[in-house]
Amino acid sequence: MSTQTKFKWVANKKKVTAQDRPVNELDKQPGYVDANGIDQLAKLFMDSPEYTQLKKLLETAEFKTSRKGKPQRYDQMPKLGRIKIKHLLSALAVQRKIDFEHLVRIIKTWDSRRPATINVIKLPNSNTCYITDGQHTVLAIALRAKMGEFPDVDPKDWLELEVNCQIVETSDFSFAREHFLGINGDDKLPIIPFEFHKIHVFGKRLDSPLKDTQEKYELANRIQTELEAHNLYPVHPNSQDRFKAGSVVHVNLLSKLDVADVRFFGKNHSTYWDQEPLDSMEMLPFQDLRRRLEKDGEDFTSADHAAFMKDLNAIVKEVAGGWAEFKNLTQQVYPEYYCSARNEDPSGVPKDASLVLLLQLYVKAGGTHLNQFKNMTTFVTRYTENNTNMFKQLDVAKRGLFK
Amino acid sequence: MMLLYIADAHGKVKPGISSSPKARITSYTSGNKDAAIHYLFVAEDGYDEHVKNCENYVKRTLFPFLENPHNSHTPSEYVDPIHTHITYKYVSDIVEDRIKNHPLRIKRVKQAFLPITRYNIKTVVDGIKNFPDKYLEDI
Repeated sequence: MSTQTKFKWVANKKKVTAQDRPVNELDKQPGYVDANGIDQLAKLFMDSPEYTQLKKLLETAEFKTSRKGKPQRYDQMPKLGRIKIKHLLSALAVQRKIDFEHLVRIIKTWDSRRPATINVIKLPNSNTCYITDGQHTVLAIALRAKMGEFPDVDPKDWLELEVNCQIVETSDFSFAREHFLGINGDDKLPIIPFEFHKIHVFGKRLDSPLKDTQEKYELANRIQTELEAHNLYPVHPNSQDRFKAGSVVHVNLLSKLDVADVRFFGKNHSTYWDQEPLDSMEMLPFQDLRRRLEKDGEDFTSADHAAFMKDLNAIVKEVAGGWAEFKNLTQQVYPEYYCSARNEDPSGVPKDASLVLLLQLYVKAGGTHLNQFKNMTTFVTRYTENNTNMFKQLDVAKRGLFK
Repeated sequence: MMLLYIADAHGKVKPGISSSPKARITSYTSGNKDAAIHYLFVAEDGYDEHVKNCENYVKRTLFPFLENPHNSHTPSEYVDPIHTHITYKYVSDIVEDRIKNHPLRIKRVKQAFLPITRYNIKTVVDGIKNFPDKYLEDI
């Protein structure tokens, strides 16, 4: 069947070359280790504008004043040592309450190779040590010893075990509290979804390419492989590649998808929008569309389905130029619709509003493919109330395109 | 009416969009240096989002060349003057390529009415509204 609506798909004439696409940072083989010496990294930093800015800042009087009272000598840095468990104290003055679920997670996933250095402050001239970071780890070590889970430790010696510590000798509890905040968040660069995805994909590709590994690694790799099949490449959100054809910035959404979802939107993107980065609207709303169609018994291999998809893409291009602008159009018209229908402001724009608007425009443009589907027909009538809908909130000129 | 302009703003190349270009061009004027629009593109009726799409494309393409004194992940919208090859014409070519290739329903203001400054912008904008065939041409 040919397309049904008055809008015809017009393809972008620009050919996409390899230079137009982002670098696929996840296309690595076993044995890949991108290691840099600290001297190399230091040189890289010292060539950057951040270094120039930092150097200027370090020379200001204001900065120097702010450091007063904070030890700056190298030999004042924490010392490494081993302290018996019986000498370690967890104090609520500098720590969170013990979280049993977290404790159970550590014990259940125990691997003795994991770093387990505890941070403590040691009161001068005493054996009293307060834990500033690592209380769950210490407790997990203690419990594993007491429960006989260390084959090389006699359970009765559990309190005599020594653990690795970084020790700062001080009675300054405000330092300890600041240290707690720093080590648990303030001083840490958060791990972003792109890094999680990369680590999971590498967990399969680099570490276990030929045998089964953890399911989260397998799933991430299946998703990544499907993305690559459609020339889609996850990129770091700050990467200069984020605007390139086929870049995937919204990596946080990947964990919500399965391979069939990626195949569905990947095929659509490479067929119609190959020159563009992947927009978030092509992800979850497409998942929603696919699952609804599947529930209604859509034959995804049929010519009817292909014509329907072509119509949807033609409408987006005609009405908004692209997915990002279509999404913004929804953000603009939904509040106007809600206000008109209910005489009050909405608290936000529902997640499915863009998809509903698109399907309403499809019907308005003469599309009939959805008529055969009971659930889809109902879905299209969402956000229709008190004789108004989102279409009626479009400006006159845009509504005129549908005449 | 949504417009995409390529302006000389504070002595720098600055692409942008506006539905009220008079206020915009006034805001770009500083001291004795008058801002000027060197190229102007206009959405056809009902196609304002096409101008936004074109603007997004231009900003994506120019991203490595935008002024970014603090090395931020979201640079300014001005072309950094150190990139002397990024001229008004260069940016205009990016716009026209997008309009032709994507394609987008956007027309170009004829060269005879350019550049536009705060002194003639009202005349040009009124002219575009009232006599589009005289002022606009297809790309």
